[in-house]
Amino acid sequence: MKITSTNLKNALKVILLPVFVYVLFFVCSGGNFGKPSSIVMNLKQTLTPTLISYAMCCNMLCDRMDLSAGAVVMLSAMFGAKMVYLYGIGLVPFALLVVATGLVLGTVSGIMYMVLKVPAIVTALGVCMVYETLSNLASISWVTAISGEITTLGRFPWCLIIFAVMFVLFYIIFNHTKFGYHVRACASSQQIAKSAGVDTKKTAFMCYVVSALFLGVAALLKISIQGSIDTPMYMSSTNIIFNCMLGIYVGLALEPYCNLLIGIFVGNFILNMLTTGLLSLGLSASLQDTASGIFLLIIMIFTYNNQRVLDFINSRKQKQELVEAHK
Amino acid sequence: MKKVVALLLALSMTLSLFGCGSTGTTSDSTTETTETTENSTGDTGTEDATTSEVWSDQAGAGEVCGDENGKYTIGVVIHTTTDFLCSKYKAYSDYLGKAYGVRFSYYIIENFADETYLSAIENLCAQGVDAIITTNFSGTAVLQGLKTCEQNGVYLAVGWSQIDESIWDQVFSSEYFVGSSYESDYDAGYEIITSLIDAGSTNIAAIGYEPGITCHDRRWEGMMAAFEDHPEVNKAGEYRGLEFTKAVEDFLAADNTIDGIGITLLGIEYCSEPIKSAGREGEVRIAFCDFSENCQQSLESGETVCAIGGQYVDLAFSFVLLYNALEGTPLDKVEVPVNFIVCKTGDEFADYMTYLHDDGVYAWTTDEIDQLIVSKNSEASSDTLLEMGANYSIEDTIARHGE
Repeated sequence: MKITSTNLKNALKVILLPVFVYVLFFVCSGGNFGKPSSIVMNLKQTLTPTLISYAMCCNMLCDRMDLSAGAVVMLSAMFGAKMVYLYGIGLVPFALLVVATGLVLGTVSGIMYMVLKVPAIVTALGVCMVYETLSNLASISWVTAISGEITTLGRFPWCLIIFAVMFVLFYIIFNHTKFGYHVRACASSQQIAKSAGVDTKKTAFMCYVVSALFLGVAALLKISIQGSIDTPMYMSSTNIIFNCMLGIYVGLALEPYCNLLIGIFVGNFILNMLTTGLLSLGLSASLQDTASGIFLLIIMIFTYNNQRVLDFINSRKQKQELVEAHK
Repeated sequence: MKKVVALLLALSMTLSLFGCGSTGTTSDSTTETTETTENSTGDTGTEDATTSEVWSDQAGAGEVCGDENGKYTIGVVIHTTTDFLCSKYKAYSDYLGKAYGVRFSYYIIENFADETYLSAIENLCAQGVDAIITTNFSGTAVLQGLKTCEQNGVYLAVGWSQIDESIWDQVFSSEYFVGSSYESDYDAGYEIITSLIDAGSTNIAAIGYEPGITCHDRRWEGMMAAFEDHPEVNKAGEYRGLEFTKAVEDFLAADNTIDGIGITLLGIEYCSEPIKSAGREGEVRIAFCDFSENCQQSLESGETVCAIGGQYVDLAFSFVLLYNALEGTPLDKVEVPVNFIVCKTGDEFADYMTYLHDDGVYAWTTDEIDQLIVSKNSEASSDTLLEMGANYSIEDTIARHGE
């Protein structure tokens, strides 16, 4: 009974965060923000970043920053679109090709990390630049686009079904497999995990392989939903992953109250609501990034510190009760 | 060991940056599309040709066209040669190059950073080109590029971009600068918004390329001026950056009363799918710069109310100015404003394709260009170039070339 009550309280706390953001923007925009169609749009926009967050999650927990993730997504999507253009491949081969490309590219990143033995962020930067150049080679113009039936997987309910399958898959991998336990052991301390018999190198490589699979599916969803993929320039592929990283941070902040996967989804959903919310307030694009950053900081400060505030209030309450009891 | 690995990694990173620097020679190509469409799926007959064209002529230097053994080599710094606009630009250079004995060497740039342009100019000079056309070269970096050209005795022309006022005198006083041409980008931006208003849009989102490229900056200024002149219309929001599709999605999610999107580039490619995805097909109109082969269908369906483009002809002005300079009979230096072609109906776009863009069709034939070459016409002058730029239109082309 107590467990159910705690779970309910935690679920409420998790739901409270997006509800708070929704209400805030709904009120501030005078009702312009938050129409059902907008929320559905937000939901759709959340799917790809959440998958990218899942892909990056294992590596990030183990202190490995894979900056090449965005480039993997863009290059896989662009390669698939290019194959449609060149050879007129159908939907199924297109989907398989994009996912397979993501899998190969992501695994190559992992192999590079394992072989080179230099910090993950350095390897990732090099790989990112190589992949961006390959994207430039594969692109047709500023943008490579697909349309018509080939974008079917980006429409409801297909995009939701794909996301749900990947969510369940990641849930099982992360929570109910030996690999998942090893990742969490490494996340706590690589040294202790190693001493306890965890093969940290194998775990690191598997993190990249799992990440690659999710990046491939994310690429498929991204190009299917958006219908186009930009040619990356100026390391612009990293833009994709920074927002996803923020989603992971929000997820980690919510971890005491819910499963990390749900937290990451909620984090990405909030970030999307933030963007559209700020737009509905009429904020210019340049100010949106600043406002998003500040708003996110507030959420993080609140989420990370609310327990401390509650503890402080409780301890004062207890002190007062003790003082009154002694009187 | 670590040092070796670090060295290898640094090398791979450097190579990735300069991976576009080789100088192979490939045959000319004229690819037709910027967008992957379903239509392409059924066209197996053209598959092989398309494959070789797309894969052979991609990034980096090494794309050569025109007269292979021409007496002059002109380097062209450009961001691609495979999209709708640039493939036609390249085809035009091939046509002119073969007629005048000029070899064109294309140098594909990955981005529009000043250092990228400067590096491209340095590399082309090192390759021994006689002249360079830089497209979309903006800001004060033009002076630096010009300095490199002066040091190497290479002529420079700037296309698709207006010379910054602050350096205009310095640039035009250079012995190796021959002139430039630019499109009426401000007017195009203004037209984008007013055409949406004329079509009945009252809540319009404005989207533009990130600041720093003169042509896009001018288009943006024109769009903003149109909003100021039409206070009755609501500007739903503005975005300037590089994530255009996401911007469209965000706008549509933030405000479901948006009924128009004005964008400074490739509107159909960036807007069409997000509009469909939001379930707003038929409710949101778009207007933009840069034609693509999808304009026909989009204009006919009413999704696009205004498409602006046709700027491949810019090449003619740079070519004439450079060729005369190379022949030792330079024209007066001039900055040529060139009209855009504005299409608001499917018929207008069909005319554009028929008289200006289809294979083998160009705005000015070599017979007409001959009149601008001093060695062939002693009365050739820059004033004629100015007239050509001012008169450029579908109607003008029909009048000159006939139905």
